[in-house]
Amino acid sequence: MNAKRITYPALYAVAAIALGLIENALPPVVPVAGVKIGLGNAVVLFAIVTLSVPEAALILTAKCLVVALASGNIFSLAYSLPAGFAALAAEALLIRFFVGKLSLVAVSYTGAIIHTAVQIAVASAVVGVGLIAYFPIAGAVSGVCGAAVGVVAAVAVKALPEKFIVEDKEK
Amino acid sequence: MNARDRIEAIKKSPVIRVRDVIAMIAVTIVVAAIAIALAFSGKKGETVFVTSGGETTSYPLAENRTIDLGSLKVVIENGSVFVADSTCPDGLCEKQGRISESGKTIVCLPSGIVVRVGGEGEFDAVTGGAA
Repeated sequence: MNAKRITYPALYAVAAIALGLIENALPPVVPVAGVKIGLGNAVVLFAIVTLSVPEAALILTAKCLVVALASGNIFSLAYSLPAGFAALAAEALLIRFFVGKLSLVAVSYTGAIIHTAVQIAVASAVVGVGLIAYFPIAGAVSGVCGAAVGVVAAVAVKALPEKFIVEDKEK
Repeated sequence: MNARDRIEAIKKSPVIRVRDVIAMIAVTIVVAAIAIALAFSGKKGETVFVTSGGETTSYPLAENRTIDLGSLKVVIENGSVFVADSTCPDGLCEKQGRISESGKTIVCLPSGIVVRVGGEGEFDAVTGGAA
């Protein structure tokens, strides 16, 4: 086991948690209830590319758990985990088949829209009333945020120095 | 494909290209179509449940009638139901408009009155919204 394989996922998890906490602490940037920029997702996307999907899933889980604990609202896990994993799955598939063909901006945009769709589905199930009327505005805003997050992730990958690349197998 | 290949592929390509914009528009259209299909899949309700002061009374949606509850009137007319003549200051219950689909509600918080449409399609309407 390469030391980088242990330390990098932990490092990225801390970065994702920090961004998530900072975002929670700031006043809502987006004037739509429940919609966040999702800066932490830039790290998850970055991890799908530079590490692997299982490690990105671990980072996502750690981020959701810690942010939910710190915000004092454990129930928010019911929203953040399914939505986060749905978005992760979509992004991982897109990267698996279209990396280099489609940019991370398009990947992140798709992930953000799926994230919002799953959140609204969970909210509808919790409330017992279809909240789909809320989707156009929430989806549009999250799409813009997701694209911005994609730009961040793409720029980060482009700027990644050689020594930060973790080889899949030791040579 | 390993991490190095993915990183190299992204390093070589620009942050955004025309095809990415096209892909995003395509995603938007597909998702919007699904959302519109879901939003209009609500089944027409059959019964109006009016809850006032903790008591719920039901009325058939098919029969026109006006229920006077003092602070507001619930009007059932031509298969839909709406609130009229509300005395509350914001009039939000009136602004919620006409409802006819199963699972839809009108809520008047100041007077504690809830109007809900239910019926055969009720279960579908709820899960349809959640799917």
